[in-house]
Amino acid sequence: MERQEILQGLRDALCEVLGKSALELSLTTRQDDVEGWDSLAHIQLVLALGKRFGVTFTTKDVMEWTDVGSIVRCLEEKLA
Amino acid sequence: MVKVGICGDVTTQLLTAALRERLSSRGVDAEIYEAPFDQVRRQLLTADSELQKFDPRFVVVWEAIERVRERAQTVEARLADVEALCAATRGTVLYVNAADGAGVDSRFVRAFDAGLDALAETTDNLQIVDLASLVAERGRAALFSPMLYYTASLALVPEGQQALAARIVEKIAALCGRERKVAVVDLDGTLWGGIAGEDGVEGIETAESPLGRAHADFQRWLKELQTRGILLAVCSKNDLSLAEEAFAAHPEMPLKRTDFAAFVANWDPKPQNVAKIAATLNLGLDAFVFLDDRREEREAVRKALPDVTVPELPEDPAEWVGFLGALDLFETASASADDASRTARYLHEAARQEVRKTFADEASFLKDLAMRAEVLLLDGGTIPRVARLTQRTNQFNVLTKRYGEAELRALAEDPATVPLVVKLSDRFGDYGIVSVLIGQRQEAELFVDTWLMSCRVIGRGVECFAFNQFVARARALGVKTIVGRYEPTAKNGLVKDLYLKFGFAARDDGSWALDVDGYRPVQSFIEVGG
Repeated sequence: MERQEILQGLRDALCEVLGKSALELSLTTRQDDVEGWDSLAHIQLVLALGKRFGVTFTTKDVMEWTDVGSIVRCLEEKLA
Repeated sequence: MVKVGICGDVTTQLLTAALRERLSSRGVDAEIYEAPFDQVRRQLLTADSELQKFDPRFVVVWEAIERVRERAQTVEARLADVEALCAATRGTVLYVNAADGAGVDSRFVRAFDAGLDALAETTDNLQIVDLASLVAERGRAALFSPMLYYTASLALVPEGQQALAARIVEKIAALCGRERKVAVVDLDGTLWGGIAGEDGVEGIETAESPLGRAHADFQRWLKELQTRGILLAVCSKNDLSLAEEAFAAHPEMPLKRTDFAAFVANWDPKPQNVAKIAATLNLGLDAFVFLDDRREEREAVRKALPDVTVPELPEDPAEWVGFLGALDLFETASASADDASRTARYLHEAARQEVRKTFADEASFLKDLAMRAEVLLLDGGTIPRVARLTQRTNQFNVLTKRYGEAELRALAEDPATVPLVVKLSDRFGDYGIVSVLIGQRQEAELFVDTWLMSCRVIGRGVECFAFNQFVARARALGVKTIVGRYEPTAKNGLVKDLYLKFGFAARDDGSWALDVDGYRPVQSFIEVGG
């Protein structure tokens, strides 16, 4: 899967979780930069991404998500 | 409005969201306070914590076994901790028990859960939320994700949080007097296999065949409910004599004709019959569960009587006990001797109603009952029943104050409290404790804090007997004025004019006042005696 497709999927999933119709996300966007992306939303994002991309995340995977870019790279590895 | 506090040593946000939604759809008006993460001891054991200041009626406490593992305590030490938490709070603690499979010695988990059950028997503000049986039903793999536990401190996956919330809501509903009290069951295809009218009473399947054994176990499940105080009623499309003959012809069936508080067999539409049963038993339709193997009957009842719970029974009767058990429909706050005799009391009442038909007027009937009432103290022997009455009585209840046993003990010890507990019996049987008056004395005034009466005895004149006794007691204490208030609810319209009937005068501030010296006892057909 192309990086752009992954980023779009992530954007859609986060929009759903936060109840927003659109979000500006770049690879360097962090959790603190997005309004409403609290710990509860983060759990829901983990679950939503697992379902959407059909992958399972390990504890280490989730720990290493520091910004949008790291989530995208994690998904790229899993889908390769 | 019910205040619910939530605290846990694991993430509680998903549980809180699920509870909020489910309490609302169950019709419980709740205000929720969720404590910050991992502050169980701090919130419960500190006197001025946010939780203590919130003063909730219920506190959900979730100390997950996965976290308990970190503490290396003995079972006894853990139980002592739980006891301390209960002692420190006014409300009822809803404590989530431990499930197996977390890598903690199974014997520890079983001993701890058994210890919790024993503690709940002797601690009146402790109720156990049975996570163990939930996990046994669904399996740990379906409910737990180690990754979510370590990254988000979630002790259950989202579906598990929902299921746990469902259990907690049923507990709360039960403790608020909203529990389900009646199971209405069909006969053919439900209590037994086959159709009595077609296969003959000998031909129905009740024991020997695989299907017969499944139906027999379903009957056993119902019988067990009945011994816990749930009423059973039959609603069948059948000739009455044939339906009764089926029971007579099959003494091996777990359920007997006398296990049913109501038995309706005719060819009328079932919704009509269910409504009639509700009227006969004098219970609201929201206390009813309708169990029928036929989809058309289930849909008809759902449509006509939306307050009745109608589980969508699986096609195979073999699956019913598991399916219904998991729905947690008949949660009760606690079992008591009162529960086991409930069906007998309903049958006595049916006998009274039969006799009633032979009298031309109500007064003659009431006289014939030869009713006798005892006035009891508010003490260890009566407090459990009085507490349950305050929690469950909705119709004849002027202020609808709900009390737990500890609160009643405190009231009983307060010299300003004037309690009156009335137990009734007649020639047909014992009604048990049926009315409670509680007054709070301030010099020459006595304020009515509680005036309630069980719906079992509406129309018998118990309120006259009870109030006469209450005034006599007030007079003996030197009280000049009794002051009452009425707080309307959706269910207590019955007592809107109660004070007026007893000669109270309405005051400008909405309260009612009675001049004690001017009071003349209201006649009742109830004599003092046991």
